[in-house]
Amino acid sequence: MDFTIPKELELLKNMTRDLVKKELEPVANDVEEQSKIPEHLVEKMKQLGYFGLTVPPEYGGSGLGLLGYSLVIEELAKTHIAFFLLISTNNSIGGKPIVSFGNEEQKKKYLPRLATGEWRTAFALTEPEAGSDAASIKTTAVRDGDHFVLNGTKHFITGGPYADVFIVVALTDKKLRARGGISCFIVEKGTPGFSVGRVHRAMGLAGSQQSDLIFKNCRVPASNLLGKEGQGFGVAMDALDHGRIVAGADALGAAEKLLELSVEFAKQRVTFGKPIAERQAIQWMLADMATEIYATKMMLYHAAWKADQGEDVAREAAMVKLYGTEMANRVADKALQIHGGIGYMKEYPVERMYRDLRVTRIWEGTSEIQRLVIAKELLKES
Amino acid sequence: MNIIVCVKQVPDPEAPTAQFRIDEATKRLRPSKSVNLVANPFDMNAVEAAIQLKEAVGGKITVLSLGPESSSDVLKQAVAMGADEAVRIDSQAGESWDSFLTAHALAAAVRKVGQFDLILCGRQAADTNAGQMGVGLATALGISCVSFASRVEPRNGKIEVERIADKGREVFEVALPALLTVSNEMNHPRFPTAMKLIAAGRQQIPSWSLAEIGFDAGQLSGQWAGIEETEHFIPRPTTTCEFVEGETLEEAGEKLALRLRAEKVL
Repeated sequence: MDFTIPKELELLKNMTRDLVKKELEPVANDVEEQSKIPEHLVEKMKQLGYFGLTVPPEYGGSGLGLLGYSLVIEELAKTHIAFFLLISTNNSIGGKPIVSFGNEEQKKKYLPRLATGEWRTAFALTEPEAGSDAASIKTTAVRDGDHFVLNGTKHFITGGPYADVFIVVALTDKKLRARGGISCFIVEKGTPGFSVGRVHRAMGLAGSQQSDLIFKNCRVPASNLLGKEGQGFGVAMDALDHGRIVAGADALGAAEKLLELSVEFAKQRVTFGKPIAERQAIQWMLADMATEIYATKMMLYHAAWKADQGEDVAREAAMVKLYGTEMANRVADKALQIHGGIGYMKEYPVERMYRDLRVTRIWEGTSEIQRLVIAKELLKES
Repeated sequence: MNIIVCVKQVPDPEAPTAQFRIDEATKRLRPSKSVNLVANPFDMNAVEAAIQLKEAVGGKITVLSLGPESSSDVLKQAVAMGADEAVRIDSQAGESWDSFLTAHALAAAVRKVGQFDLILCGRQAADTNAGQMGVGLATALGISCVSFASRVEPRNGKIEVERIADKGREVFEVALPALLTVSNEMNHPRFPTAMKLIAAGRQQIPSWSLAEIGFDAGQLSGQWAGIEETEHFIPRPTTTCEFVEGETLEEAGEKLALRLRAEKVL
């Protein structure tokens, strides 16, 4: 079996590693303290094409598949998570639905602007009473001539306060729900009846914002319907399959960084006359971390490659997300334990990464939902 | 302005020292498998300088690298940054390269490229840090050379070059053709865009064999006395601890400063 990464993807991965080391990591503490990515770095990421990595070349992007994009995210995840969140909506759950389901007119209008980062996107599915059970959303879209009228509230929407374009999932038929009663809409910032609600205060994720979105008789042109009416649940699930593999890549990169920090620290930190790296208790932790990281890497690369071959990876994506994010949390816990007291302090990145990684077991579908998806697929086959 | 830039692939100079060991048989520093191969940082300063000159006065940039197949990665990086053409000169496994032979091989490659106004090299390669190749190449080609260049600007068909001197800076007006060895003070190499890097990554970089450039190491080595590296070692650092005392903090500080001056640290 050949796991050789194509040269152009290897070069892009290396460049991202270089960018992280030289430009992003040096400001990671500032991003955390000021909860903001310095503007010049946002501009740089735009200029270098990081917002349009997965946008097809004919619309101004780099046309990366899931393997290429995952390799970039793996490197980007080795610094502050805000940089991943900066580019992830346009490249994944925010932009992917337009790439996969948009009509030519929609693609021409939105994709070039997403590719340059001129416009940023957000994906609005979750509601106060519909998280894991996405099909029980209450936001409605009622046809009125050549418009749809949207009413409802979304929450925990990453990018809510600063996105320009929203992919909004709404009910067009209350009876049918997931079986043809849900539709997706492209809603632009400034559409009358649309507003950004309260901004949440999160445990981590500094440098990004999550908020409520409020739709009050919000009139969206029917031409902004994404895909066919009633196809919305499929659009959302397709975006989530993509997003789940990417969530795995983020978890993998963060875990690799934590292992690197732990190895370095264990070699330097001396207790009872010896570096702690010479103690079996520490060695076993490091060995377990490395093994789980390796397992995730193989799963992720294989699932991403399979998706790029056009295969349905709903089950594999759920597995990568489940295993990868749970793994990264175990790795973060061990990394903090190896670092001891200093690992708990804000001077070291371990504390920040530990907090930021906790959400990865929740977003893009909780671990429990991933198990549900996997089991469903498994039982369907037998 | 037609510019040729010479680049080299080196083991990542920022990799931890523990990942390098000295191979007793070859007397060479051997990196462990986990050390990435990267573009020599100074060479990327040279590529950036070439791109800025081209942006100012137009022209063409050709990048050359003498090395194994993996060196193509560095050439692709240069193309993604903005170089027009790139050629790898195959170093041929089994050949033993030093600064002298490398300079002469690159001189042969430069002659094959043909017309040029300026050659840019990094001031030194981060693996050997010999810093001889650029100057050697200028000698082999019989053209002017300014080393440790920290600024270059086009001036009416010539170039103005600022050079880092022992104390202060020197400024030269240099007629072309000429060669500069570029120091890191000159610029910050740009990152290529993702799109250009992907396109360059998919390109096939042409390569020339030593025979194609008309280079014969055997013939050359008869013409010079030669140098052989007989030993390569890492000196063991010795640490001593000395307390500088004083009645007051100010006095201790003053004594410490004098002590540091005596050690030529200050």
